[in-house]
Amino acid sequence: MIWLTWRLQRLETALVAAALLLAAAALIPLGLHMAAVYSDDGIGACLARGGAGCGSTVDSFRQRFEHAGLIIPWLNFLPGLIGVLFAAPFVLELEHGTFRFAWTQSVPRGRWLAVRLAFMIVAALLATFALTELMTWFRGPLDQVNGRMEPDVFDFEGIVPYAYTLLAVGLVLALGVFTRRAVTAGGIALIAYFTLRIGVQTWVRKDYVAPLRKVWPPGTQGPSGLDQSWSLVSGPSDAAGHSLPQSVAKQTLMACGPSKSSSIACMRAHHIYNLAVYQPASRFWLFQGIEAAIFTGLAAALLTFSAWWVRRRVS
Amino acid sequence: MSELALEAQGLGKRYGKNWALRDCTLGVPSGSVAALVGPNGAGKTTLLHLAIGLATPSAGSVRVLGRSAREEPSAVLPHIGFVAQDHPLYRRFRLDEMLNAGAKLNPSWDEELALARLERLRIPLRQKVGTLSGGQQAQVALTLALAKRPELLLLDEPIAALDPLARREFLQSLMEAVADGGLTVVLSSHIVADLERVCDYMILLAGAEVQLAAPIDEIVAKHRVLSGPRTDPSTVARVHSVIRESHTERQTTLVVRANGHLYDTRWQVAEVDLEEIVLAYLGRGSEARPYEEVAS
Amino acid sequence: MVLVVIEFRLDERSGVPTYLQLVQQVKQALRLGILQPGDQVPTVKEVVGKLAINPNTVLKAYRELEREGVTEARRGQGTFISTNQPAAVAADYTALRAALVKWVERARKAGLDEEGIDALISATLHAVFFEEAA
Repeated sequence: MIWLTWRLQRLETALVAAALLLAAAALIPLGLHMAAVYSDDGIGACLARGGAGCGSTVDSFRQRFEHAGLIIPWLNFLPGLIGVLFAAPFVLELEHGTFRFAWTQSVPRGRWLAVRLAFMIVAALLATFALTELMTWFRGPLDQVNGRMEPDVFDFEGIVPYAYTLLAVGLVLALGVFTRRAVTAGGIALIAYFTLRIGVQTWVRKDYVAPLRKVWPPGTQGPSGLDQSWSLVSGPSDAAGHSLPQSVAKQTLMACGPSKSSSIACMRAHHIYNLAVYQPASRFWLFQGIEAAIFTGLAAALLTFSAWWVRRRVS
Repeated sequence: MSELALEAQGLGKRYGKNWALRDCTLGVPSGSVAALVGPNGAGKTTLLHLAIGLATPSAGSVRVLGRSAREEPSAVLPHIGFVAQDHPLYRRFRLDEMLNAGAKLNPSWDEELALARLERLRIPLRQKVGTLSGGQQAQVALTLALAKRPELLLLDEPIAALDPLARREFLQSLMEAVADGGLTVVLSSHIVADLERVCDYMILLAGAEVQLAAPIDEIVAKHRVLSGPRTDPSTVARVHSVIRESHTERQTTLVVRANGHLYDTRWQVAEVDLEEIVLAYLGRGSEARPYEEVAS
Repeated sequence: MVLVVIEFRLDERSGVPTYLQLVQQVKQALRLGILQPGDQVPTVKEVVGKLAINPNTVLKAYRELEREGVTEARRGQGTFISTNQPAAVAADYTALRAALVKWVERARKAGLDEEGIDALISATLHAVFFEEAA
């Protein structure tokens, strides 16, 4: 049964490996370069010392590698792809009717199902492990500078990628046992996967825990660690912390003149403050846990449904 | 080995509101080659799937080699060969990998038998299963089933999609396996003509019910066609079962199942061949009472 | 002993049961000298492998041949043409055959074609054997 399962997943495993190699080929050269610049410019040491005097080096590092962040969102589909590829052979068995061959040899249906599912899930998780390690390594220097709470960074590190992959697997299986068509199930699963991912990332994640809200007068020290946090709102506000429309702020700034000290006094005179609504970096693992629980819970429900359907309803 | 290789009692299967099979009671004697005949949708596949344990009955019971395949798969499945409709095989596999799959999934596997058969059929082992012709794939599926050394072989429309030559070769192959002994075969088809020379028992399904289930010799012996001047068949129907009646202006033709002798001199009595008998049953619609096996 | 393989044919339309056709073909082969006493007839497996018919049919035919004494089964070896043939099959009909050839030539001269001769013979056979049975 083990040999058979491997043989049936062989092609898909190769495809996943190829996709991961491509991602690695894209990221490793750039990652090495980034790490070199990071250590050469002594940014790490500088930040470790306290971070106050590092501003300009850090800013130039940020600007220099801004483009690196652009590739990342495109790789969001990888956990989905991993899930689809590893779950597809199972659906193909339903599509081509070969399950009727497998279930009428001497292996009972339950054992067949257990082995296939275990293999699929373990392989998908291993592939996700490789991907997560790659991304975490790549983001190393940037994470030190920018933190990892922001969307499209958060999504690739920690434990959530595993939950995403499991969800993709669950979606393909649930749709597959229903439609018995691999391509249809895979296509709809990917669409559902993206919808859920984007939906959660955009509207749900920011409210897992009520964000921190800080108002401070211009010119004074803002809250610490803002650079590493996930900034939800950042801009001018009134004393009570209500955001000012940009147009009003611009007007005031024009009126207050270009030089820094005068504009600061001017803004104070106009009762304009700085507002930041953010999720601090300290909540990284809390948020990871919550999001992973959501996706894993969904995945578990889908997998349980699929297993039950296959055991009871397929003939 | 029990006396009946396949036995059903009041077996029924329902999908939603539709009964795909209903009130099915039959017993296929060990050593027979049984034809499972009926139009598409009559319940042949359902019956076979229930027998092999792919589906569970909604009513009644079915036993193969004396046991329930659904409840005791590890005990029963090693002794039953099954080829589903369209003979599903792993198309990406090479032939030797397909054999390997069979070997790995079954406790007893006669590798030599499988290799010998494939060699005789001249199908190269390193060829990808998906590139074989329909006839070759059917033979491969049969080989895989036979390599288990089963006591019972269930074949779902094994020759439906094959050209005449492939059909002939498949049946030749199958009969050789039967000649080796110790094998009961049940094969389904919606074409009767192929099966008459190969089978000695027939199960006729129509309208999800069993219309006939008996040895073929007995069926042919008991059915007659009566032709005579146009008349009401009720006198005949009092003694015998009229399966089908047809009238022209001047003539009446009846296909009957005889319960006793046919004495009436008004009728010309002739034998009916199996295909005509089947057509007569299929033509009479599902409101008629199905045949019950006559106690011998 | 040379293994002679007789090739069976099946006429599905003839109305004659399959097993009987096999019996008749063995006897006919014997008459024509294709099969000699001591020759082995094909195994059940060989026959069904060619004709794709139920093995029981072949068994029935071979049992009938054994019953009539035409063949005998040797345990572990197969079925063979008996060396003691019943008279009806073993007799040499050379003289009868020659007479028949002459008659056929006469019928041709009288204007009958092959079909006509065949019909005449069938009718005569039927009349003789039917009258005998009556």
